[in-house]
Amino acid sequence: MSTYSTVERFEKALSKVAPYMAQTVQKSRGYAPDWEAEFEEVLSRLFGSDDQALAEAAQGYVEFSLDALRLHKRFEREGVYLHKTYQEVAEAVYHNDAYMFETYLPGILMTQYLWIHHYSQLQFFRRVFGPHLTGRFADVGVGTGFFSRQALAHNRLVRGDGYDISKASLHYARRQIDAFDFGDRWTAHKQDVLRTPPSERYPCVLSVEVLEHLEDPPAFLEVLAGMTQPGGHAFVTAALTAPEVDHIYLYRDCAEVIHQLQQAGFAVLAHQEDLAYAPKADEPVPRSAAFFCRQEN
Amino acid sequence: MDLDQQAKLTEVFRTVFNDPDLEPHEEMTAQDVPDWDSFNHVYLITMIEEQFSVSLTTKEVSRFQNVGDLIQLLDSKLN
Repeated sequence: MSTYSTVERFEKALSKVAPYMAQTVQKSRGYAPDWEAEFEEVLSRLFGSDDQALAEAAQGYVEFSLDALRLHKRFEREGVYLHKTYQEVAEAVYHNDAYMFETYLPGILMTQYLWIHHYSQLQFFRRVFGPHLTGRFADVGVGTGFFSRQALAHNRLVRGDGYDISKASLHYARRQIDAFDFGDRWTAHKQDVLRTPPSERYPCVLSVEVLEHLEDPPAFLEVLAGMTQPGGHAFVTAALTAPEVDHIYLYRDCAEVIHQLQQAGFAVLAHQEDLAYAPKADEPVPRSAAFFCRQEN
Repeated sequence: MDLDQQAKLTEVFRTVFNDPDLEPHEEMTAQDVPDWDSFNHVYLITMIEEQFSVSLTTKEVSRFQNVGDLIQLLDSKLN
């Protein structure tokens, strides 16, 4: 049996579900020398020998990716995101368990390894934020739990609190974190931090792929700054010109995010912007921007 | 699918894959056509929606394995 047999099974499942994505895994192998070992670990821990679950994850990734590409086609024509308010997407996405568990969450999790800009963001997280992880961290908007899990893996002494409004997200995150045996160091909180900000202040705060989902990111960043101890560090990301079904706040460049972070009380110590793919001409390409910050108040 | 619709579908394939000799057939898959990747898959769907005035969901378009499945899907929308 191959060392990376689960990756190979996923690759076969993906080719079967979507023959037009047959080269996706092979292309991703070139992202980093240890990419395949990492992907093997997450697939084997989450899906094991369950071919049906692996095929469903592949299907979720295909639908999530096609949705994003189709919305991007629309964005190229119209220059705006499909939805503008939280209310428009909340019921359709965050509180729709079938969509969350079948498409959204497995889709996003797979993109962490199969989309170059997401994988590059992970490498930036490890490089700049990893050395500062200490004590207890807050992950606000846990999504799949991917970055909480990364933080817990990076430093085996840290503990984490995950906050999210979606029960499905917290459930999926718990499953992922437990699968890596980090469950006793992580606590899930079903809590809207905008309405009920936690009283605890943390030395480290992360919030990945959240800002673009909000109607009022500056208000959220103020809450994040309030949750971060003075002198503490934060890792915050934003999607730029990247339409997805639940992206409502359109960022066009890093400068706007940096301005909002500074207004909230953060100093941006480093940032990185990654493209989803090379643009053909002047087309707007989806980008991920990540910011390593220090709380200055 | 009638002959006019088949001809229209052939034209869509030729435009999307930039191949004036392409002859789509029911057993044809993405593996048989150079450049049939996810980007061109979405381009193909967009063109089909425009040319045939139909609306296809992502779930529907993510699941067809070959051109025959696509024709079947289109038939269900056109009839």
